[in-house]
Amino acid sequence: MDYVAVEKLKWRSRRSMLELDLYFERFIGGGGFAKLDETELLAYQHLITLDDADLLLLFQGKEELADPQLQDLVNKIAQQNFYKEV
Amino acid sequence: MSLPILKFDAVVVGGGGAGLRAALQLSEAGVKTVVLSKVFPTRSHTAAAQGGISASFGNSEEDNWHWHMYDTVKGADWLGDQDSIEFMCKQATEAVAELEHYGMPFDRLENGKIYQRPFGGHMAEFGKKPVRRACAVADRTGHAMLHALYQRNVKAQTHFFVEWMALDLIRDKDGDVVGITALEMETGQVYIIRAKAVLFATGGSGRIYQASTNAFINTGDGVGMALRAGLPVEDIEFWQFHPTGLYGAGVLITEGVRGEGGYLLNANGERFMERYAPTAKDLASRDVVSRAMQVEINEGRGCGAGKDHVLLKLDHLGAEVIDQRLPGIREISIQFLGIDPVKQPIPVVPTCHYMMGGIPTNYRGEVVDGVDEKIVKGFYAAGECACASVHGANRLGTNSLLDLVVFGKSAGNSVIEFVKNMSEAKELPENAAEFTLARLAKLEAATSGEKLADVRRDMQICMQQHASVFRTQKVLDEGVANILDVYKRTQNLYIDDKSKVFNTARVEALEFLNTIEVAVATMIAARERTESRGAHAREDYPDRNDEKWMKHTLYYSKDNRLEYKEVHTKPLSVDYIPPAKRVY
Repeated sequence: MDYVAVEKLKWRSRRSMLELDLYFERFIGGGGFAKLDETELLAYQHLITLDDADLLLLFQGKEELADPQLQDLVNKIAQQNFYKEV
Repeated sequence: MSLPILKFDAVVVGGGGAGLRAALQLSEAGVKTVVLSKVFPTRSHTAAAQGGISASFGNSEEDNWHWHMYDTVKGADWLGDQDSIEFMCKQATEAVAELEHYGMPFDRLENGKIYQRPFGGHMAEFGKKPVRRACAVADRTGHAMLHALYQRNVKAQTHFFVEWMALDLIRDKDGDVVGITALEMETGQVYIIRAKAVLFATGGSGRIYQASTNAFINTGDGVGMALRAGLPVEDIEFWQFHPTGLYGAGVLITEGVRGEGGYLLNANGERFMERYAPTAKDLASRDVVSRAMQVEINEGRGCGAGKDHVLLKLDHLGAEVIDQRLPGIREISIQFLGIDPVKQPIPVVPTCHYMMGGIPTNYRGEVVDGVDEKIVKGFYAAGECACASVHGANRLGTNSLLDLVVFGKSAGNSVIEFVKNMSEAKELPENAAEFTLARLAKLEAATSGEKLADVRRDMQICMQQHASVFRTQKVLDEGVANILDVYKRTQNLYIDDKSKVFNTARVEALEFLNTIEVAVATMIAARERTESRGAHAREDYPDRNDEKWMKHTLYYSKDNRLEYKEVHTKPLSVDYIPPAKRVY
């Protein structure tokens, strides 16, 4: 995936609700996104076409996807290390 | 430099609830309309609204729009314009019925009518007893609204420019609005969009604060553009805060936690609300709890390394109660902070939620300028970016979604009326894009200077410390000095990435140049208002002062000038609701 396509994915990770912005910000800013290989980037591209309300349920572990590759990506995003020490 | 020019009858900036409702009205009337949106429309922040939309159907018990109007006037602490409020409350049932016809799957009663739930501040018989007035689609009301409106717009053949960002308003020598400049992110190309009418529905700007429930897209673009174009912003000092947002994240922790027996602690382990509200303690009203928290932080009794938050303790409730009665709280706290509330208290801070002020309009959605409310021809606004003004000093719950659809439609109707006899849009001024291009050139040319992340962080800290829920003359005077200093630094903003295509760094910098305008406006307007009204609470002026301050603030960015105009005290058909003490 070329640079512009990757930038698009990052921009499209901006969502309607703060909770989702935080999940994606942590994933992108924390380096998780940069480690995705080409196949995972394509999965990411698909994942962010989902509705925000559904994405939130997925990240909160209240729902699961049938596709194991997509669910694996959901797990990676939802289980990031916490970026801020309190 | 000449730019490509696109022509439409109407351009709507913003693809949330207000923008989509306005565009629908326009497209269905045959007005050639384009909606510009930074993100795909159904990912607008409207989708985050869960609570519902108010309309006095009276499906479960007697209700009427006049009682809804009374609640809104009272909630607004008598700063709302009563003509606009009457208009909105009267239109509510029709507006919601329209959404139902567009396919919004409202929750139902057994008899098939729309289910209505109780909500704070919704009362029958002019404040006497609670009434069920909020219509909802489970906890996805905003989401369902956006989807219904978007589909309907597709059917009506509204044009959508997605991942486009409006940059500046274009006004001609008469001051009329004749178009906008806009950036297509995909190509980096800047366009002039010439139109008979421009309608802003760009949402709020909660990102001015360090602690905010707002999504990242809420950067105050419309207000920033209006201010740069020499137009005012109204009542911008009024921001609604929620006491318990998750520290460092902003995600809301429901009031239900305190309802179930959770309580707040300062750094000394003291249950400090006992000092501020001996009877209600942690269950005092939102503004009282928020201010007490901020006082503890300001006086050095905050928690953590930065002494900048307090703690919400609920571990004494036990895992079973927490899991059963407060679903979601545990996982939110664990996921975003790594703290399990069964074992440790949750760090919380007062958190910004909603912008009551905005671009001044009348109830027809026409933008008005000055004390005499001169109509700005060709310019309309609706939703959170606008100030109609129905929310006054404090918004009543569930009136935000209602505001979007009522004033989105109303503004749409005004545009239809305005453009119907215009064969062509007014001529563009010769220098139509000069201002925008100069702004962009400056950003492109800078090779060193202030980094966006640093200036944005300093703005948010300044706003949180000086213009959140604890306001005194000293705090605000210091805040004005600080925020003007931050503003100066924005003049030296630079970005590393100079690429043209899909340059998100440039987009974020341009967004920030809007956000900082809102921050400066807020601080300066708040400093001058020496009273406490609704969300604007001054420790040094604890009472509402109707004689001196029952008036709207107008802020102009040129010279940071303030003017004041009268509150509309003549409703459309009923008697004026005179000021009274706001008690619940």
